[in-house]
Amino acid sequence: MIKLNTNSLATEQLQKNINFKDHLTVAKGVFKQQWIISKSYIANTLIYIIIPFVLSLFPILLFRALNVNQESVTANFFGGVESEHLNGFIVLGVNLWMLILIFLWDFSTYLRDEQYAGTLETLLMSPAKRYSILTGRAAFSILFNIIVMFSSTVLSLLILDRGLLFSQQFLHLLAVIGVVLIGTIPMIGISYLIGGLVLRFKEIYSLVNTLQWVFGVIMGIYAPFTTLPLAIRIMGFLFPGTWSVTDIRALTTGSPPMLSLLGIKSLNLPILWDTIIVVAFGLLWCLFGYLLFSKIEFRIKRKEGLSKY
Amino acid sequence: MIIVKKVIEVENIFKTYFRKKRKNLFNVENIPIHACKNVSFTVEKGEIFALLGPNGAGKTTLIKILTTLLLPTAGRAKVLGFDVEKEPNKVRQNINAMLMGERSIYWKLTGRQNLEYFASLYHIPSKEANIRIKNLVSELDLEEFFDRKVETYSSGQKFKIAFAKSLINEPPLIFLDEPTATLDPRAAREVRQIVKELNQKGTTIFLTTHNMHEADELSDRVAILDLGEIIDINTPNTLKEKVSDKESVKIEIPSTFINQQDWLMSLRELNFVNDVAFDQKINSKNEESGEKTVVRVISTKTRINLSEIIDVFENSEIPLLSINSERSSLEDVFLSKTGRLLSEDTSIR
Repeated sequence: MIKLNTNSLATEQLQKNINFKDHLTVAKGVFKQQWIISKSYIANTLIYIIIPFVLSLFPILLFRALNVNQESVTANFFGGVESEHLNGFIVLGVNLWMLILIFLWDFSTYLRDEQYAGTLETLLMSPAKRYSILTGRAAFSILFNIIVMFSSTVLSLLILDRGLLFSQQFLHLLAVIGVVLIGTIPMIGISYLIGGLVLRFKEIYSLVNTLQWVFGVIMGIYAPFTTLPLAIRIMGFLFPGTWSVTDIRALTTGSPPMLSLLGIKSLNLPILWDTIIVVAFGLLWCLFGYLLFSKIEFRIKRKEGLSKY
Repeated sequence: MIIVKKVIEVENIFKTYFRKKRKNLFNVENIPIHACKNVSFTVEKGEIFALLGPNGAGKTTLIKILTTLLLPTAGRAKVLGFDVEKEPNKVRQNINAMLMGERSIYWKLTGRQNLEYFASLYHIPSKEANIRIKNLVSELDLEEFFDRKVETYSSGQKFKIAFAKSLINEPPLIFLDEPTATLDPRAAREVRQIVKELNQKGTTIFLTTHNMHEADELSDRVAILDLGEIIDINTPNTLKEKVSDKESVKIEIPSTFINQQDWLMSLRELNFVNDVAFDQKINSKNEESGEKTVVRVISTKTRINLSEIIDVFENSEIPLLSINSERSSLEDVFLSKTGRLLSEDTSIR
């Protein structure tokens, strides 16, 4: 028989203090649930692994189609980067680009999926704090996407540039993954912000689509940060993603890290210092994104409710 | 120690939505829709309290306010002694709800995975959750399909998992929004039985329905909601007593005659007829006679004057498919108060 605590309803009994362990229970539950659901969409995961390979093929095949002299391209690349693995670096760049776009979309896609399924209200009606849910989802997202990115990189390199995979330079990838991991923290903050927009506006995907290109430019994904106009560089300095991308470029091509670009050149381990700044930035962005998300949620509840999309 | 006796206290709740209507390319007009208008009531501990009203009456809006999913435009509501606006987390910790039936669970998870997930959202440690899940499996008879993915379940099975989900935190108060709306009669009967048993064990149940039989059978008290306003609250028997001096006649006519409404005028002109309404949307199909529509007539001394009612239809050359005199029901209460049937959709206004 179901035993219910209904013999007495004292307000004191109804007030349960939520501790850290309770928050962890929620985050673990969300992580596990997301993991199980992702296993139902294996083909989708495979596509995420294959897409960066296909995108990497475009510039590589374009060089061939245009009958560009491969030797001069490689020499030119070697001159700038001191590496002969042009194809390998294209693969790394495309994977990084994909990862950042996925993170920007991630939380908003999660919210919209919950709305479509009809479970968003059930989720938000539970006593679980929003940040516990978001932590669980972010933890899943980081692990899932890092696994996908790593698999995609290794697969693409095996086909397109095996040399890089077995070279000393590949060890740099481990450091790159570290920087990427830390760089995901501010991305999660930004994705909360986009998540709020998804709840607020019904037709938001075209805006988010545009935003991802704008963010891409500001962060220096399409062109090195130093080549951008001054106004965009100023915005870029305030945007943590720019620091991560610049440092990833520094790790892989030997270009200067962010603090060096700002004129601070006397530091030991400049990338480590950059990373510390990214963490601080990241926490601020998460806080800002979360507060904005909560504010939007409150406004929606005041208006027509969370189930409308 | 403050003991909560009134588990729900609603005082002068208003909820207004604004629907945007584009006047031209540059101007948008905000049209107010009053989903709740000055709604006040209380629910006592241990009650089954039903909110009865047609689609669009404001039932779901009210249940969403009480479950902290919506904020009222004005007014105050307390659930288990906690203010829904100021202390939403304390409310959420102690209630549970089934608002969207089978859509409130994850179809890509098994029943067990769903319950484990929701247990974590309610901060229930895994050991305790396993014990509760085991109890729910045996109590609600879930064993046979529990470890299959929900997407393979029948509607009744999905409902049971959604219902089990709403019991996972052993709440003293449960909200059920149209719990049997999508179920076949057998499954609906089973659900009503479960609700009764749950209530017998002490759980307070707040349910919304547009099914008068459900409200009549289950609830200790019924609030009739129409166009966002509560038009009456009482026990089902007391409500029915208010129309006990009247009788109800259910007449079925072919739907093709429903648009020629001279018969309706003639019926209303009869001095013993109090109200006439017919179902404008839901038509049942009959193989011999095609679509048919139910007309409901409430009147005094119906049986004595039945021939006059039949004459009205005969004069309009409308064939009668069936005619039945019925005991007064909550439908008659609604009809006598609003002049409409419960099956009427009032959501667009």
